[in-house]
Amino acid sequence: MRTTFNSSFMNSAADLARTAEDLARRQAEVSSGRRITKPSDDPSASSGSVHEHGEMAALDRYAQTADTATARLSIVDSVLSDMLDQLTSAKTTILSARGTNVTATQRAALADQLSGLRDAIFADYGTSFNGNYLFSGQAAKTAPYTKNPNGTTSAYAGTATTMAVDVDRNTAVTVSVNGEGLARGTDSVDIFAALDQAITDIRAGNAAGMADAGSAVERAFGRATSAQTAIGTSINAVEIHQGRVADLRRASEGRADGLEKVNLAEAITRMSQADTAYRAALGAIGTTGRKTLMDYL
Amino acid sequence: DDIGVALTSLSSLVNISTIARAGGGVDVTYGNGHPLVLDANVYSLDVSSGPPNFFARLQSAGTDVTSEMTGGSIAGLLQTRDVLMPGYADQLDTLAYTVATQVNAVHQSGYDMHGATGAAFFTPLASAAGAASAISISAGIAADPSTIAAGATATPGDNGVARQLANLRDARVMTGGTATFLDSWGTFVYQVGADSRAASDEHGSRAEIVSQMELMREQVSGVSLDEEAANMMKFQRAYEANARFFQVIDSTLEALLSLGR
Repeated sequence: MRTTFNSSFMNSAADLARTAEDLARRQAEVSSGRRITKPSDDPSASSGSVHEHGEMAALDRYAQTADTATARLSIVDSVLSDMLDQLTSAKTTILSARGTNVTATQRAALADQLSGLRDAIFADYGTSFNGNYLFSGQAAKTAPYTKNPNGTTSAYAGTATTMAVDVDRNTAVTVSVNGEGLARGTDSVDIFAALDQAITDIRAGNAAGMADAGSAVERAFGRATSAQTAIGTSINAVEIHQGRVADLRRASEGRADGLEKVNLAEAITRMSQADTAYRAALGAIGTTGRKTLMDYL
Repeated sequence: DDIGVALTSLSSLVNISTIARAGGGVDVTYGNGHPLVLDANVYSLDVSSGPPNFFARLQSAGTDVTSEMTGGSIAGLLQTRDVLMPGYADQLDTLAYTVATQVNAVHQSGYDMHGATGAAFFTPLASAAGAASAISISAGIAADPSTIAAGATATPGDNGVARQLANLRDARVMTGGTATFLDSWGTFVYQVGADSRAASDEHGSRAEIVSQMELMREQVSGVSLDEEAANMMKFQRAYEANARFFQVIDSTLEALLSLGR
């Protein structure tokens, strides 16, 4: 086989280019920490990476929704606790007014006290979060109850349907309350009307009326307790799903890193090998370039 | 020589065929025998464009020869322009059209915060053709985001349709109801990457073949300095030997002539 200067040069140049390209690729891997910069680097891994990033985006959305849901439900829970305290005080006030030795002056004072408790409960129902009422069902922009000019409370202005959000795939939690279901339930009048009547009955010394009012407040207390239990269950459910979503997120991120990123120790080793090969190619060119018969003549 | 260099350069552009002439020149044709060089005559390869897409077309003496380009970089560009890119565009168009259609269908079933029924979220597309470049949020929605129909009922605060739109992410509405939007996109990314990788690998293997053939040609026609130096030494010694022969003859004749005096 004839070995010409050009053929030796062409072989050497091709080898040098190949080793230089390999070295440049290994250097880019080490400096960027990534093994995929375009789909053709690894089509299968690129496709997998697309899926993982899509999954992470979905999980991030669920996580944000869960955080918001937790904040709302915590407020509802807190309001219900306050509402229960007000209802407990209302029961005590009504019982106190039913005493046989209660004077008219004392009944008037108790009536004023019950009036204050009624107003506190009314304020609880008007609680909002980021401009959205929490006790209006889906009618987030509508106050559940308002005050009539004569001081009485209006009819419920919200909806019976509540608002739900997704905190995980196929998992929704309710983040608002049907205010009428809480305030009235199956009673003929809501708690505000019942308390208004109780105030009137206390001032008038109407024992039967006060007894009815006590029962109404007791039923309202039961409804609030049930609602708080349900809210607590929802808060627990959200926490459980937050943990699950976080675990899924970590797993997805791990898979994406496995597809996209290099093992640095392995990449540095390969870069070192490529550098050695490149230097060897340079050395080989330098050596063969000198070996001609002319040099020996 | 110059002809070889020119032919090498030309062959990298188009699939040519050559016939050596007795006088030392080369006749060059391309495609289905269209002439480029015949004897002393040169024939041009023209470029024109026209409807429907005004893409460049190759012509020889008024005949469209674009489809006859089966080799060289021109054929590669035509393959990319006329086969690969339209295929990719079709996939993108299908994805965009399906996204717009599915979102609009859900959105139009809902109510905005004013209680009005939802209009199209994306500007309605007549067909998948060109959908990827044409997809856009409808003018009404863009001008007034409060007209986004997020509710399943007219109650402000109802988020039923918003949840349905979010669930489209996992809906299998692509590829005959077997794939999600993300699946379709992932498949597209894979295909582009695989096609690019295959083209790169093919280029590498072809380049290696060309390199080997160039090496073989070089072995036959190339200059080996060692070989030339050895031949030079051989001929130099032969010359010296001949010169020495004449020297001996001259000396012998001189000696003979000196004997006769």
